[in-house]
Amino acid sequence: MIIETKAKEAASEIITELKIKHPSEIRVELIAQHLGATVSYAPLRSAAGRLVRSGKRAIITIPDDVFNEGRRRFSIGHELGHFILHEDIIDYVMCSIQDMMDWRGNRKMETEANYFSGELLMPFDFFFPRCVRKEANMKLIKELAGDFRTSLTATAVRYIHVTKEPCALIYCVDGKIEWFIKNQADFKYLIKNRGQDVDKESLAYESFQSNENFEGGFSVPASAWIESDHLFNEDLKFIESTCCLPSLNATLTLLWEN
Amino acid sequence: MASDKKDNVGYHLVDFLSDPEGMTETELDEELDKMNVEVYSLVNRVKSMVNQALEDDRLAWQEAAQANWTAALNRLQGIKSKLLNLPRAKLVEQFEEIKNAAGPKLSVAFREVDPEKMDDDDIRDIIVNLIHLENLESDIDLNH
Repeated sequence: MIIETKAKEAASEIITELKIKHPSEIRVELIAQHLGATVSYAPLRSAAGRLVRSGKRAIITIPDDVFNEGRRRFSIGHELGHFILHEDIIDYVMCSIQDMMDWRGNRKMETEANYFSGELLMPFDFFFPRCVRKEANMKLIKELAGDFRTSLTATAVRYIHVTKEPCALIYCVDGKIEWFIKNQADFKYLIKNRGQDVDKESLAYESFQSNENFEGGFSVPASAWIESDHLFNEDLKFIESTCCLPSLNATLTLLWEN
Repeated sequence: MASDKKDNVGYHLVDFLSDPEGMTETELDEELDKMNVEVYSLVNRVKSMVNQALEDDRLAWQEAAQANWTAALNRLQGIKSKLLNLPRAKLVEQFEEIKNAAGPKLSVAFREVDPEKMDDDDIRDIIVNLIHLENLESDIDLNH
């Protein structure tokens, strides 16, 4: 919690100081330049982002073959997070895609940089009003990703962090659960562990088979996602909304109680 | 003629507004009325001009940042073009030289970086970054 608070506050201060009032004004390369970090695109094969710092200046390098605008912007925000938050600690860092998906504090500084990037690109004051009183599903996440020019994954994570609805986000790769996060509003069920096969009764399974999206909410048995030891009501149903990410052979699932 | 009158009113208004002390609100209205000034429309116009000026100023930092970004990228490109034909051995040598000459903080940061495990583009790009940052530091030193 402390990790995310510090990072979010730092990003939020920047948005306020720069008098940004609309998502379209969040031009992350210009924000970086204004703060002393030049963004450069280069054939960076070994990482998703790199920061080299000397004193108050830095160069952020992003691979020039990342054509997904959302991913590119998130990577810049992440490296800028290191630049702002870890001034006395990091002068050189190479970050992987895994680092940019570390939301659970496995590597504290990477998680901090992720929270920073999320808040910078999707400031709470702009993001939250666009979520309230709207049905939670991948259609909404896609709409938000369009508004904020962010990746689907980063937007879905941000949604989980700001929504008041109890729900969970599950990321699966190659037919297996890779990671999941639950929101603060106490989604009380224990989701299956990392590395387990995606259940045949889930829409994610169907999505892996057919590359189809199931963006609206569809009812699925809770057992498709919950450890059987923790399932006290066999008739329990969840609503599942799943998008496939073919370039990563992955699926992104939003799950909430029926 | 109309323009003369307008200019004249403007002159008197500025002169008058600069020192309206000691006047009551009614006297002020009467004076402005004598000068053919429609107070409400004037106030609205001034408000809208001020708002527009504030709005123009709000994102002025983006223009400056864009210019600085373009200049920085040109400088990076300039440094890179001088290194393009260097063979790998020379690149590694130059990287080690810069690393050793850098301050202790940067040397520590690069301690784990092994150029043998990097391809030519990566080594060249890091050298470009380090030279550029060093130049910026020198500029800052010279300016102070």
